[in-house]
Amino acid sequence: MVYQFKFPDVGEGIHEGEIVSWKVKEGDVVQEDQNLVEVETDKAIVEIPSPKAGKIVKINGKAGDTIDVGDVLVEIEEGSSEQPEASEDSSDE
Amino acid sequence: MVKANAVQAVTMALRGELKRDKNVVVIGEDVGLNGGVFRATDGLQKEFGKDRVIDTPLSELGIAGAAVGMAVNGMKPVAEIQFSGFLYASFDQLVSHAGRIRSRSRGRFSCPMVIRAPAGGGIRALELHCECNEALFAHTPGLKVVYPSTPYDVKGLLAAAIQDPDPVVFLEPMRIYRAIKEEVPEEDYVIPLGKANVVREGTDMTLITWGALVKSALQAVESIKDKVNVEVIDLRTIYPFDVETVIASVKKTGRALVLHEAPRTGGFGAEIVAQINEKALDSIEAPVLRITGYDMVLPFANLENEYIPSEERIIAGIHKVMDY
Amino acid sequence: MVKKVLKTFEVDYLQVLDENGKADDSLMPDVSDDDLKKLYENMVLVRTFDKKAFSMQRQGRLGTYLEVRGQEASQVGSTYAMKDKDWLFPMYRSTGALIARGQPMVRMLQYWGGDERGLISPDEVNNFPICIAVGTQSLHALGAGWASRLTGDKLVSVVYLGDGATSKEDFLSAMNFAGVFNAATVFIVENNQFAISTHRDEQTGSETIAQKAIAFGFEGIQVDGNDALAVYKTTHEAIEKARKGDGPTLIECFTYRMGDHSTSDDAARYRDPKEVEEWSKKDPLDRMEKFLASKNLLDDAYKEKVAADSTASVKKAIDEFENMEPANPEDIFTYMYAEMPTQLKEQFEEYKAGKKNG
Repeated sequence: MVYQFKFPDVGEGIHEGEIVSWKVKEGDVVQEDQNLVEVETDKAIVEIPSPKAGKIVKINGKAGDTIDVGDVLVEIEEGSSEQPEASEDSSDE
Repeated sequence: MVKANAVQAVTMALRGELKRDKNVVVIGEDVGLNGGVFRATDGLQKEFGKDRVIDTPLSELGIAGAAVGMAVNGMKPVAEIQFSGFLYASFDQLVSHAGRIRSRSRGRFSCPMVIRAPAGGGIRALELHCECNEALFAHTPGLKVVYPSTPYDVKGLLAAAIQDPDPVVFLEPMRIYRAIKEEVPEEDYVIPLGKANVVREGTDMTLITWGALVKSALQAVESIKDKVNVEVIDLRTIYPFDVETVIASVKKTGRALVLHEAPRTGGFGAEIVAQINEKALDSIEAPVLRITGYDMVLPFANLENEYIPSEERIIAGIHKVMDY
Repeated sequence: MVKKVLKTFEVDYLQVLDENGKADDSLMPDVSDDDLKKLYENMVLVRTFDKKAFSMQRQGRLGTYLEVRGQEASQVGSTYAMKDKDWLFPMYRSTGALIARGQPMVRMLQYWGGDERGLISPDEVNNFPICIAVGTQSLHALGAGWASRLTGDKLVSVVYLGDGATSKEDFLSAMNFAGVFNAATVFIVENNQFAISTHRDEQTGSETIAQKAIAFGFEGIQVDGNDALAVYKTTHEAIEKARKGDGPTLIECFTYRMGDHSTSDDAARYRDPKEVEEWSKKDPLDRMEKFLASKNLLDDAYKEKVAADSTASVKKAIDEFENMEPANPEDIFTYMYAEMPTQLKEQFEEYKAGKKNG
């Protein structure tokens, strides 16, 4: 099951954001709530955590790109059977 | 039966409710020892005690908000605000809270409170003492708004308001506080909210009004009764308003006029005209007119009669509708 | 002719448990080992929920959310002192207080997810709905506490406020009425140092918020808001005082808003990360853990169990929330009045007809 995670309205009526930096790359296995990406909106720089556990199969956009609310940010293949490998920046603190 | 004016009718209603329900409590500035600046609560603290008729500190916001809290916790507070203009200070607690408690808590809590204030001009009072702000409250979801015109109606409607499970803004026409004295039953009675009163039957046109202008309208209509036979409806409750009675009358007479003291634009008259438009268009032979105050603050004492619809203006309005 | 001092004032401060988890035995409240564990477990639950709710907002699964991070002791410690039917008047950052006081977590998610059903209080307690307008609930708590005095129902109304709320007219009026009428109301101001970006020092010229009570004729006390024991002790005393009829109290919980004001705010714009770092050393859960360990009430196994249980409870609430039937849309009409008035009834019919045709 590939889950398409769309960029949500993280701040009361924002329409878009600018990707600051990706914390994961395609192929990484992530845990639920692991930080995926840092996005800058009009109001704040926010970290977006993963809604699902699984493997990142597609990342849309690179640092500096503008992404609209509702655009697909990442595609996650749910429920990866291997033990999640922590990528460099993973931490849920 | 006893002869009473509107102020005394308030006292009678409060007395009856204080007796009937131990959870009823009267709060406000100067309501206890002093009996209220209009003497509406005269003698009540002596009769019922300091725990039932309570003098509060000077804060209309505080009074309104405290009433919300008391009502939520099982009491039936009847808050007096000394003049309708001071209701603006209470506004936030009425609009943001009183009218919303039931919805916000999905029925788990409710706010059965009454807030009453003298309203309307014509007694040469100071500014902010004579506001007609019924439209502001009628436009507020969750509130009920009552605006009686006679001592008999005051007593019955105030009792009904106190017994109502929802918050009620009760505006008392200051101009007729002492101007009308009539027979009022001493025993308890209620006049249901949301029911208008056809105070004068007629055939040629319908005049809808409320508050102090009911008396003015009746006088105007009487003076031209040889030429026009006007049916006069006293709305009594502004929200919810008795659209059925109004429409039935307009369908019968075919012409209508709305009369209110509050400013014209966005006044409650506009709502009534809209309803007649929706429900009785085929029956009316002329546009429904409004005779109202102007879009201005009530002038100070010397010029206030330029603002308040006079008998002349009412008669002119009637003729305009009839001549169309 | 006389010139004399009529009054001076003192404001007390209380801390029972310091940052290192050391308690002053002479100041300990009367609590059992079970009480201590319950306080800890509730704080862990609140923190777990809070973290998850924040995450969910960032994932688009929840609307705007306001974290309680750092204020767990203020909220859990104080609600622990309330008896069942006592009234809780929350503010928008009282998620912890509500959860600790029996509001199901699923309902908190419903509220932050835009569903009024989330504010329905369980029958066993009186949890008033959150209203967003700042400080307005102080008058409601005043009214309810005043009513308790008049009816003799022996209940106490506890209201939560932020430091910003102490500038609102409603608060000042409520405090004033409370002093006059000896209302059975306890005012809990969680001074977390910020009202969005306004620092507490710019909110009022008073040196402490606690001292504001003195002006209104009753006691104000400041406590270490990150110390659940001090918060519990002070609240317990204030509640029982009010219940006896001896009047209101203002408790200032001196704490820190560890997160942003809301999920739409970026506190880095207006505060020093060093300050945040300093306050993280005063964490309410850390010190409680150290204290429990020193009393042999906490070991690794227990700590892990509490964490696991909290995670499981939160997950259960989220699953229930995300699989819940949406509310009946007709609810928007049903709860405006006890009985639908004429105009609303007409509009309701119109709405229903529109749904049928549309």
